Amino acid sequence: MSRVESRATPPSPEEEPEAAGPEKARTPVATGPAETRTAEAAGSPETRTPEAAGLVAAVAADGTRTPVATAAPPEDRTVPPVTAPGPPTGRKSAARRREALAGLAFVAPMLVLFLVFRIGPTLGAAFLSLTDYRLSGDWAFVGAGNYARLLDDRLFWEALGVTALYTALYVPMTVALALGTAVLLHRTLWLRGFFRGLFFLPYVTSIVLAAVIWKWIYEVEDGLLNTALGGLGLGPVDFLGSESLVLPSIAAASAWKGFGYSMLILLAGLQSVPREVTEAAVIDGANTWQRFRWVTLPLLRPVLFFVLVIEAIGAFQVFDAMYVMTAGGPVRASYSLVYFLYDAGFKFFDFGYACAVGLVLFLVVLVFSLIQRRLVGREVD
Amino acid sequence: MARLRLPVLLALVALVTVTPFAVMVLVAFAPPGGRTLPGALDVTRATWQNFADVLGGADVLRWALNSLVYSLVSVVLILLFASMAGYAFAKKRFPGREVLFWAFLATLMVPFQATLIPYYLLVAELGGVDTYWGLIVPTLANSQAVFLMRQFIVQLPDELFEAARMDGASEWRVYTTVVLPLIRPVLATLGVFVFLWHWNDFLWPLVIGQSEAMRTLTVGLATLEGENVTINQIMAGATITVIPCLLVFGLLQRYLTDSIATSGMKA
Amino acid sequence: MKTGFTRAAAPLVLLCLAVLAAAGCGAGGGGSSANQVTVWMYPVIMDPKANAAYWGGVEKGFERAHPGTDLRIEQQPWENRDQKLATAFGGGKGPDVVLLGPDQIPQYQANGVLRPVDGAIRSARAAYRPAALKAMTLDGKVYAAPIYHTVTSTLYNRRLLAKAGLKEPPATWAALKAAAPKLKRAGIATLDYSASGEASLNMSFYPLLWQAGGRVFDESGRRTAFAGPEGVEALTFLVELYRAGAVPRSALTNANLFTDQALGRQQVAMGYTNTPADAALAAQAWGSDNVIVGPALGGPRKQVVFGMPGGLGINAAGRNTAGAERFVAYMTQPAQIAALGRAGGFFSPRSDVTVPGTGAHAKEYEAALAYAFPGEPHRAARQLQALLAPEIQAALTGEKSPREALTAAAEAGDDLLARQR
Repeated sequence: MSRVESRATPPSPEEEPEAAGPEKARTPVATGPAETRTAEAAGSPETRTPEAAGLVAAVAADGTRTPVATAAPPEDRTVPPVTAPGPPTGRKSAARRREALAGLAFVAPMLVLFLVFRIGPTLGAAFLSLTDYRLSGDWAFVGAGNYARLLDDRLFWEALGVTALYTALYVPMTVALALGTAVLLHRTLWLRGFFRGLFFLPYVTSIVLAAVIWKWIYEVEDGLLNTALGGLGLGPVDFLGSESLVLPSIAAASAWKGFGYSMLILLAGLQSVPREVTEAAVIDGANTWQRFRWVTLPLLRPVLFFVLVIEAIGAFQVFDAMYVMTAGGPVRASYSLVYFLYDAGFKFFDFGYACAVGLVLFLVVLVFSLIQRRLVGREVD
Repeated sequence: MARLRLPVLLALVALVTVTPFAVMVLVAFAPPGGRTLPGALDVTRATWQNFADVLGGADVLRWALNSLVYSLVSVVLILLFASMAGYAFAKKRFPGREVLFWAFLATLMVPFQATLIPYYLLVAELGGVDTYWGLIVPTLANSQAVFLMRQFIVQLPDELFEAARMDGASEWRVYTTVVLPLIRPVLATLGVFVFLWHWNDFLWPLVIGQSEAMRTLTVGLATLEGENVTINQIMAGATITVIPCLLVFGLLQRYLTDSIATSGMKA
Repeated sequence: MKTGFTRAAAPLVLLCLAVLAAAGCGAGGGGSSANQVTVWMYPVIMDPKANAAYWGGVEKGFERAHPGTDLRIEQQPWENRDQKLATAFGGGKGPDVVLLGPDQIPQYQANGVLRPVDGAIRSARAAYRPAALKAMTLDGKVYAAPIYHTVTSTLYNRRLLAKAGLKEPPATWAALKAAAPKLKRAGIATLDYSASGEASLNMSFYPLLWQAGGRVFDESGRRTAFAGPEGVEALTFLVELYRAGAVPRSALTNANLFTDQALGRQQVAMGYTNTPADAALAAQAWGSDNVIVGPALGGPRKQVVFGMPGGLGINAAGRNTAGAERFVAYMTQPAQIAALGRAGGFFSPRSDVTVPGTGAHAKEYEAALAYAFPGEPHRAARQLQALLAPEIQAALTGEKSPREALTAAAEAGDDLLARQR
């Protein structure tokens, strides 16, 4: 790692002639300190340029004060002293190579962690799925036996259906809630931080706790919701005891717990939409909805893509909420795939089979994410 | 009418998010058995008993310290490594970039329950059982963090980096002086998330720690819960666990979304 | 530009380092030596302080009796118990001795990580209650040495019974059926039940099955037996009560957490698988005057309750099996069993030891112990429960008749058993 690193941080500056063209003059002031930013935001990009260049240079001269640098990663020591800018080499391939090396060097620490602690165990699980592994350490190779059994297992298909339905309920619910609250907060100038904190409260709790609380709220006998419905002369509704209501009820509880995450990310995304763009749209006579639909939403695409992918991945792996609220019932109406996996592994100690379930789920989610990428993320990269 | 709509909506959402939370605190302070709302709402019957039952002379400070180590060290290292990797994935062209990125992302899709055994075997083989590094290092491989970083950095205009490079800054310097300050709100946001994920984490600290000295708060509190724990005690434990999270959120609150470069995004 | 950020980050990093240093000092603790014995224990004694004090005393007592042995009893949470134990065994980091219940033994035994404890209990063997020992036995070998015995029995809410004008607590199925309409008129449900998939059938359906004279497995253990007429009778009894509103609708999601159940919340008049700990919690929540502990519920053929032993198992790959066996032998002595029983409100798994009752209802539970049945040990017991529990739910919701539900479960169960070695 450090060998790559030392080669990857060449003393000479990166200098790509085409990048130093007219674009350079429009360097925006992303880096302004909090006190001056408001003033800058009000100005047009052109008027801000000189300050911007100065700021970047000032920061460059004093890199050691950046907070994360004090964590002293190994790379820090290999950084050579800053040299004066050399003449443009004009050799594109050398620059490309340098860029590639720098890229790999920046990825390296995470990459090593990944190969060891993510890819490694995943390959391990893939291997176990081909065996009848026992905790004592002995195993026999069973080939595709676990997979063949899985395709024949009615419970597996039922769990897959439950999981797909849950995902279809949870993801739109959560993303809509997150987007709605993010837009709401973005519009709010008064006590924004306070409300953001309140909206984020559910995310601070653990999912187990949220599930316990929502189990009470949904109770038939004297739950909060049924008490309220009773006051209106309705109900009681058996939210968790009805096969058709159980998944929407769990999805709603999980959305309550989970939306704060996507909300914060979307809010950060919304705030990075340049104000001039929306202002221009106002001048063009666009109404609020049109501005949101045709201006803000497209700019939000990379972040929205992130949120959709992450929420879908999380939804496919739902387990804790069901474990606490319904234990998979009634009649397996909320028995998800990871629940099935958990039972196979840690209830019945059928580890090879459990690993096979994990890998099949992985493939399902991968295919789903690739489709999502085509639909939502095509302009992201 | 239209001017009233915003505050009303804000209040409504806040009501929905705060109510269950308030219920948790009320039940934590309610006498045993007082779990239904009228009973729990009776503030005159409020008691510290559940907290005393839960803590019962246990070494809570030690557990909280372990949780703090687990969470804070992870926050710092994940922010560093994930922002570096996210920057490279977003702004550097290198061979295998797409494949690597999707490989990172793909590891998120394997359920933890399926890899738990090989994961544990690996860390045990490396001698990480019942150690701080065994607790922390494996959890640093956080692809969600890399993904988030990449999605935000990809929006930053390239000219920013070019300008710095033209001034003679090295790659590392560009990263520390241009990239990091620009993504400050994302760092704060991710910092909050990573803290919460680790602070509330139960399964990994449970399986990797063995001695009493390695216990985190979530695990420690669970060791005090007998099979017949009351719901009031559970809520008291939850209230204790949640307080530091609220503190961290409060502390980082003002950095959270004070705009990524208000007008610096590529349109 | 970095002013604000640096202000926040620098102290954070400093705090981090300080915390790491502080924590580092206390961590570690020497490696495992040859005469160290590690024991994983769970909070079996309800009060955390009493639990810590009791096991601390055991450490001291054992080390005094066996000088040179370093005994470490580590308290583990009940939560995710099997995940922790399975990963540890898989990674070769399992404890030398661990507390096990009868339903865990088949899984761990099949994985080859348990060593029979027959050697360690040589002297205690004859003194054990046969049922307690049988629950821990597989293929003729004992895999956990019982150190305590639990028992459940009926638990009634006196105030609710009085409200419905009932003078006698209903102690049999017939009395229960007769009481249900009276309680319903008073707006009270009769019988609490847990039909959740995570609630053990040993604490819900199986006692009814046994009371009706049925069995879960047939004598050979190769076929299921619960779908016979006795099983249908038991499930019909339950379903009729549920339909009539005598079993609360929360039964479907009820976990075994007393204060969160309809019984704990005083919505239902009685339970039939309640532990002494439940009775203690009930005394807190309802007032001790309102708590009645009755005899084991009587069915059409039998009077049976569930009660199981807890025992110590030994790691087959442990580094100190001799030390582990010494500890197991130590804990199974009459004096230790009596002491643990007193501290935790347990009963004795040995017929030559009687734990002097301490709780308000010790006498009633002692009487119920005579009817206690620890369940039918079987390799596929857990898998079978997972197949049967959803079918019972289907019968309760009316999706299937009791006979259809049991037949469906039995077919799947027989399939499962046929696939076993």
